[in-house]
Amino acid sequence: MDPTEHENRMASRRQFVTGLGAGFGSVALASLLNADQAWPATVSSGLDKSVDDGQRSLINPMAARAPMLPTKAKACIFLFMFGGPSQVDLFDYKPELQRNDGKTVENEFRRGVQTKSTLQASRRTFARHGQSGLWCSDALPNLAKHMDKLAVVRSLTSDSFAHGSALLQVHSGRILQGHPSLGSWVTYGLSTENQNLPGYVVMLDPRGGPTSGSLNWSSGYMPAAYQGTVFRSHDPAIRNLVATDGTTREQQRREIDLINRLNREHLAQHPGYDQLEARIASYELAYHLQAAAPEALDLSQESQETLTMYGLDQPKPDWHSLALGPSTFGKQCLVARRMVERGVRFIQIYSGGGNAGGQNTWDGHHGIEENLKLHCPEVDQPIAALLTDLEQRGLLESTLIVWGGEFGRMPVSETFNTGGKPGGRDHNPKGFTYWMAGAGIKSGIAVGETDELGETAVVDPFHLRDLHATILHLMGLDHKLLTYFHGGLDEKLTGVLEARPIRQIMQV
Amino acid sequence: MRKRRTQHRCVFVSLAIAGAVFLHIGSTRSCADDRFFEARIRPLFIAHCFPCHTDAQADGGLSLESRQGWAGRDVIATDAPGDSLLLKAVRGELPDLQMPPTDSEQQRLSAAQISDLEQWIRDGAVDPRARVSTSSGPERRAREFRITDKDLKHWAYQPLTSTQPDDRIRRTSAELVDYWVEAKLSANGLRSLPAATPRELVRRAYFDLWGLPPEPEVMEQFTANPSDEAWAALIERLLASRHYGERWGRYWLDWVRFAESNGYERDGPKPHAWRYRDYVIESFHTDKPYDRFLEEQLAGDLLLADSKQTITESSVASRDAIIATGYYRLHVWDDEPDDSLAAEFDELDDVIVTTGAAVMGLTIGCARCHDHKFDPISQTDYYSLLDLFRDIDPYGTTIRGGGSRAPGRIESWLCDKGELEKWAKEQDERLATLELAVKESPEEQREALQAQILLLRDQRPPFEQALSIQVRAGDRPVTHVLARGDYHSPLHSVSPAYPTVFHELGWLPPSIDSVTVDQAPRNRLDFARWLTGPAQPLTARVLANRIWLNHFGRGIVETPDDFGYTGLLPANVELLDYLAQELIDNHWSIKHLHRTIMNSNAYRQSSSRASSVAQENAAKDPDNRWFWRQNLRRLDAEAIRDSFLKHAGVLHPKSGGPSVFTDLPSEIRDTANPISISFWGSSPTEEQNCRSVYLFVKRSLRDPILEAFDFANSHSPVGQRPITTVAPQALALLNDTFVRRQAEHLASRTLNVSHDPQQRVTSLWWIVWQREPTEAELESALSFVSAQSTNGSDTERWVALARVVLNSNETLFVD
Repeated sequence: MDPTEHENRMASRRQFVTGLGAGFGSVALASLLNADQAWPATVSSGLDKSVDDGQRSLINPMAARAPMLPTKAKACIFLFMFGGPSQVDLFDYKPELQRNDGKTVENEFRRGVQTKSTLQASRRTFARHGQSGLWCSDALPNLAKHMDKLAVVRSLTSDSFAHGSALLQVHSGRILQGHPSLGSWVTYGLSTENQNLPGYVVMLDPRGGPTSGSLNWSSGYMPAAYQGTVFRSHDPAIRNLVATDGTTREQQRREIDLINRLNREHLAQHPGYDQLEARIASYELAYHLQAAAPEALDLSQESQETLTMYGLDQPKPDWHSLALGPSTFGKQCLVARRMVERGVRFIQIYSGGGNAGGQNTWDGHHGIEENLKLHCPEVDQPIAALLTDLEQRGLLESTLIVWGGEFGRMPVSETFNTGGKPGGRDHNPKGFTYWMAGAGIKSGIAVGETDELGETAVVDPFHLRDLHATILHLMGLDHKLLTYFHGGLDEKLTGVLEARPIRQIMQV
Repeated sequence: MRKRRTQHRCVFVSLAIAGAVFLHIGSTRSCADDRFFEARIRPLFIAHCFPCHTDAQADGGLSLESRQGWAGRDVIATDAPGDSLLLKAVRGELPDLQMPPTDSEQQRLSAAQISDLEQWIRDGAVDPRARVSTSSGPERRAREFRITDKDLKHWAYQPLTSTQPDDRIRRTSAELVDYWVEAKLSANGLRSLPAATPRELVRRAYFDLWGLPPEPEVMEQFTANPSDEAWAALIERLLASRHYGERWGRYWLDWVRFAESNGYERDGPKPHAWRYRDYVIESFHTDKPYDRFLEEQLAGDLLLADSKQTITESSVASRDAIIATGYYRLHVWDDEPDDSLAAEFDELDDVIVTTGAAVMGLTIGCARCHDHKFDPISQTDYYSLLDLFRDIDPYGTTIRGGGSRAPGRIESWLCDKGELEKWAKEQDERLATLELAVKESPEEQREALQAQILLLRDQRPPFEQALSIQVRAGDRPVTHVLARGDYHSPLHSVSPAYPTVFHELGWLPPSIDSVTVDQAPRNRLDFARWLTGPAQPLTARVLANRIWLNHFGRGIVETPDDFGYTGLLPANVELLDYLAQELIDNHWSIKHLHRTIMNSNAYRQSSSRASSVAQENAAKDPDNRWFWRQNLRRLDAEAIRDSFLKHAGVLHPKSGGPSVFTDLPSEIRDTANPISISFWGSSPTEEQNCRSVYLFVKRSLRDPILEAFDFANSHSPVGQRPITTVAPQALALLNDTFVRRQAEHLASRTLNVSHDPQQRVTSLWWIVWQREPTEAELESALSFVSAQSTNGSDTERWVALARVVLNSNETLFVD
């Protein structure tokens, strides 16, 4: 090949690669440009800094970036009901189902497998609430008072009947592993506003992690900097935040000082390598994080009224060994609000944990009534408090709240897992409910409908990728432009099939 | 007011992940201009102008979403900033053009914002944003698939250049590396840097070949006599060790996304996957020719049949051929798929994507749902290749509808079939004897006999097993091209074939008659042989590039898994082709390539950027694409963990066998799925200090230290791991119990040396850095350990000093 042509092609190729991220490329460029704002140069190298390290490196993947689209949203709180909450018992009122309790119908209980099943009416009482008149059952009496703030999507669908792949799809858009999670995409697109805290925080149910564990908050093929950080609601909030052997903060400071001194001498002998400077800065960030994380958790700064509102004063119920009452999820919701105030970008809180299939999650195979009685009170008051609290502080308009699970549940009674006893409900990815509130959300409306029994989305059905496009859009990111080049493809959270933001529930 | 136009230009940051590239290339514009735009102008556009001026809604024909959207619209005049329509509109100077419009909800711009806009335009209106679908990228292929002239001329598909140096001087293979590197440097007005110091060289060689630090004695010997002969001898010694196989075998495991668990909800273990890992390590250790290595993995079973060999316990070659086929079983596997037939195609896709990326640098997977949008690979090519692998029994049983399923025939016995049958026959006889005895024995003895029968029935044959393929028992299914990749939508049927573009390139292998060529591979073995056959330059190029990459931290082609149009062009194609040819000419010996590269001056160059030569070079080739210096490189996750263990003096000598489970902290166990975590085993404490390559690789849960330092994702091929620098890494190195434990061991090593603090510091410096402390370092260290008030007991202070040393950049970076 002609060498000139070769170089020319190389040059155009390089332009292309820059263009690849475009729309986003420039966003990522901002991260690099802002780098020395976030990473104060501690040593003047005396060398032209126009050169990189040769080694592939990402200096500060978390430097602040501007959104692509106009948005008021600064943060997102995803309230995840692991196991799959029952839409027909909570938000999707179906009079026809109520009238036909006990009737036998054909039901597709797994992909392509039909069986004769018995319709099971909800044992909950439904009512319309607020100005909007949105339906909510008596399982969530506190949240019911906030229906005017919600946009309820009653017609979501996804591609899997099984927890593992269904969870992956909600979190990463694919039923396959190895793709970045929603929180990773958002932090990749927007980074964080607070360099002293993780940009993407995950809080788990004390009963355990969800199916597939950390894969649900994994950054997949993106750098690990974009994965979720598990944040506990007690000290130490983050693993390795402090030494467990009693090393004091002063001692650690002395260690960091000596590390810095050695590293600066090393840098002086290795001028021009940004990675070395970044490492020096990372110790300062770590030191700040040690103070910032406990501060975010410090609820002594909250009034008694606030603590009570979130249900933190409520004891663990004793009627069921698995019951937690509202105090656990309440504390996590309150911590989430404090994180929003401190510039954390994406917060995911799990209700339900441990093995799917048991009553420790929303997976109500073994009796939907018992399941609702366990889990609804755990989240009802906390979520209501979170909405109230954010609104009172003027944060609701800049915070997007998302509520839902990996699928919904069937309108028929499940006897498959209950030894023949009625009362359970099986998985249903064909029609289920999500609601959103806050930033950019048109409140007090419901869109989409399931069939008259509440099984399959039939009016305005939306796929999970539409939900993802909506969340990204509300966060100021265009799902078509937010791409990451991997394996020869511009990968998107929403994949290759067309995704549509759910305009009906968006203010603009 | 901001300081304008600082001297330095854009810092180049590039990031390649798993064969993907997301590069930001700096231009001549100033960093400060870009930064100003990002900090002041872009947010202003978004907040105040985007409601009406985007690509989608360009009111008045103006979009402020990219430079193309406003350039040439007579809105922004950099030559006469004051005349810019934009400025007049926002200042309110135009009665009929007020921006933002007075009737909109948008507020007027503040004086500060207007002043920012003025300054931005005055400074040339630098707008770093490019529009999405720019025409500068690789061309989208025509809708109708056909191979074009351009395809046939793609650089990676050309025969290896056989150019020789024109001066006819005889050169060693390493000198030829320098010849080609220097040729590129001088053509670009660059000068190579002088050699690194002997100390730097020893560390570089150890970390490159072993992933471990050198012993202080070796350092003393080499620095006393740093001759070329001593250097060559050092390389030979390092290459001869199994530690070399442990280091380089792990790279292969990255390329083929190795893991020992299936992923998904339960993330169950893959049986005997460690044998595959040992096979890879041993193959590198013994310098197995790469062509044989590929043949065994892709077609070990056929290789045995071809050579009329049977598997015997005593024959390593026969065992290897079976163990190697575990390659096909490494993919993620869902034991509860929504649809098991769809899942079967996902698994086959995983195999094809991995083989394409790891071996050929091809992004074949892009042709699953439609013809490849850039590269000359059609959807028919994809399914023809896929069909080649359909003689293999699928990993999981096929079930109708959802629900859980068991793995299928994914194991093989590593013994002769006759021996197995003999054992089974004897077992039957023993059972028959016992059963007869039960009938004939008195009542009181029967219970004991029944128990013996049960025990006997539970017995497994006394032979070893491997994760492997099994060939389908019945007819192989017909493979169809699937519309949109959906197996419910079959189109025409296909049979195994080499991708069409390779037909047109004349890459078909010769037939047995050696006159004609084979049009299609009969089986996987044909395919494996074709990969390393004489007509096919891609495999050698891809491998040569991978080896170079791990000696320099940067490939000659910067996209090691993608040699197609979406990848980057080689920085020095003559060098790459020379190395590829060297591989082929030396029986695909990877060790030969290590020697060739490491004995070159190019490899031995300094990584320092302090000299004036370095600064002059940097002005012309800032990101060192043409290798005028070595790169300072951060150690990867395994090298960090392993060298800490070595420094601590507790590195366990484990050199193979079943994988090791480290004790996980409860907060990590708690995040895992309970069934999944129940597969996490336990290992003896000392064995947990083994090299990282022997730790169990679980897809949903990784060793926290390895994870913190960018361990491979193990879901897709990773040709080059990203290197991130984030605060949680600092926390891990300061506070993780693993590091604290190693610091304690390391401190006790130095405490045992002497009571004299100075000698202790010296010993610490030699263990970790293989050098004397400087005066200043000695002073700092001594004052650190002697500070009584806030620093715990004497021992604790030495442990703290050891921890400081482990945390420092000199420990984590190699020159």
